[in-house]
Amino acid sequence: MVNLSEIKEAITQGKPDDAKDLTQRALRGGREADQVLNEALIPVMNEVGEKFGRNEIFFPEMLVAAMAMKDALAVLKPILVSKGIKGTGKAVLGTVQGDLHDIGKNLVGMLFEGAGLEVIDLGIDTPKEEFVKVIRENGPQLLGLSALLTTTMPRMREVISALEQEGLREQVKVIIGGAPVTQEYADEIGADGYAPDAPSAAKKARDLLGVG
Amino acid sequence: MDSRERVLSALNHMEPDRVPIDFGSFSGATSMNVSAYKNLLTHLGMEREARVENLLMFTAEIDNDILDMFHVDTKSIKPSIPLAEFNAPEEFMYEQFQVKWLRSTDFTYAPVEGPFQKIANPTLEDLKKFRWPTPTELEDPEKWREKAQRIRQETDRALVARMLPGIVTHAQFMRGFQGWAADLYLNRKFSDALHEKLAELWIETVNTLLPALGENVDIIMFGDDFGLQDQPMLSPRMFHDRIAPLMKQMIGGIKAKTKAKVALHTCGSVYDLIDDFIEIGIDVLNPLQATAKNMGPEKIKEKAGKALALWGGIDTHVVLPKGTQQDVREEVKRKIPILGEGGGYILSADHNILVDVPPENLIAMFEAAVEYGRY
Repeated sequence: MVNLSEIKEAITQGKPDDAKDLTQRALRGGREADQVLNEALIPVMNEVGEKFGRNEIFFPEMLVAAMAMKDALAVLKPILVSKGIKGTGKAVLGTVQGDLHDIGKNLVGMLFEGAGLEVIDLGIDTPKEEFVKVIRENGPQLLGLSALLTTTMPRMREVISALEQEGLREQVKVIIGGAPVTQEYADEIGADGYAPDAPSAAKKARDLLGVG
Repeated sequence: MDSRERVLSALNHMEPDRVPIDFGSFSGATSMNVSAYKNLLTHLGMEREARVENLLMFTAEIDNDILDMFHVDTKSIKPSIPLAEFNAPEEFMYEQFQVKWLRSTDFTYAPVEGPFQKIANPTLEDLKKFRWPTPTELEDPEKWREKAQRIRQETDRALVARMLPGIVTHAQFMRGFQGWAADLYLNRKFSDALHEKLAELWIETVNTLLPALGENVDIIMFGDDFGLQDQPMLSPRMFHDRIAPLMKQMIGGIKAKTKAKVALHTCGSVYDLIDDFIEIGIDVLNPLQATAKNMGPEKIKEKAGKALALWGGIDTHVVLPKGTQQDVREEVKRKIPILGEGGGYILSADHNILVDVPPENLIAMFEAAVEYGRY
């Protein structure tokens, strides 16, 4: 039977083909999909994020690890769905209106998926009305807002205000990030959390959702 | 001491009469967004049509009278065009490399799609098939020659020539940031070949410009971003093995042909790459992004200050847009003695000034630079 540590190793090494192949073999060999998810994919992405936070690995290494994790997850997903196994929760992500930057946000999306969250990524230049609509329709527990520019950062406050006006603020935790964003700014606009980088965003997400 | 002597003295790690000041000489990152520049002109009670110097960054050519007013010691010799000719469209193509750029609400632009971005696993064949620009399609040596000559006669400022962005930036434009990063591991042949092709084109382009500039240039500068906010974009080892050798060829080519100093603009946290920057022949490092990890003035001066002249460092993330004029003065007052010790420092904001910086704050930065910059 495929050892879960082999799957973890393939992900750490950033080898999508191996990760996928090993995951398929693990399932064929009788492993449960949720065991592979909870004992291999989620913990290994947590480790990868921590290594990134300590500058032991860099963006490309984390990216290819996340790609490998995603390919392994794609093998598990249909089975998890058919068994009715729910993920950690649902998150909506987007870069605020007027801002076209998405490197950090995309990475956060991958690490959220690695943390077992279902991610709805609204992309760049997202109007507040779009956030409101998607949150109303999908009922996520988490909203992640990103801005790279000092000039578009104020749009984050506007999204939070729009959620308040629409009576949706209470049902979703909001975390914000991006180069010019600070904890102070998060406090000022009433966000639930701030993360200085993608791994801390994933950790913050787990904390906020109480799935540590 | 005139401006040029002041700059050259600082770049040679000698103390001039005061810390030299830059504004706009590198249109990629030490200049001002065109909309912000128009606001500044209005604030100063001046009316004129702005010229765009850098389309990708949408930055203005800073006019001589403004440079005089702020005691600026540098001037760009990069050709510019009237704003009306560009007209700030919502999107445009960076034709030479077939990269689509979109406008943000604050009139900055970002690349959103490059020619190799939609291909899952691009091959060497894809590189060959691409219609690469020729050096003269990228830069017109005659326009540069004329401008460099004219500006040398008009001013005593140090002249800065902004070359094409470097190989990593262009690879990211063409392949998308994530594609570029993934290729380093998953498609190494293509990644290496793309970097090599871009280095070759860069060297050819610079080679067509240098003879046109002759003696009318003091600093050859180019941007190639290697830093994220908290760490380099790629591991120092990978940078050393796969990027630095190509850059050494690029820089070596310049040094063989001109006495001008070579300045590298590279954003974010690049502290861990500094040994390589020194080794490959960089003379000047910009922009010392104030809020990036390990880029604080003490740390950078200690690590790089002997071998590299430093350029930038005044914070555009927090202090300039959100601080008071007094905060700006304090920022300048605190950083000058550290970065400027023994020469080796040119003061500027650590990136282009955007519309969120009040003109009063920008003016306070220049006034404080003169006041606290005396040696």
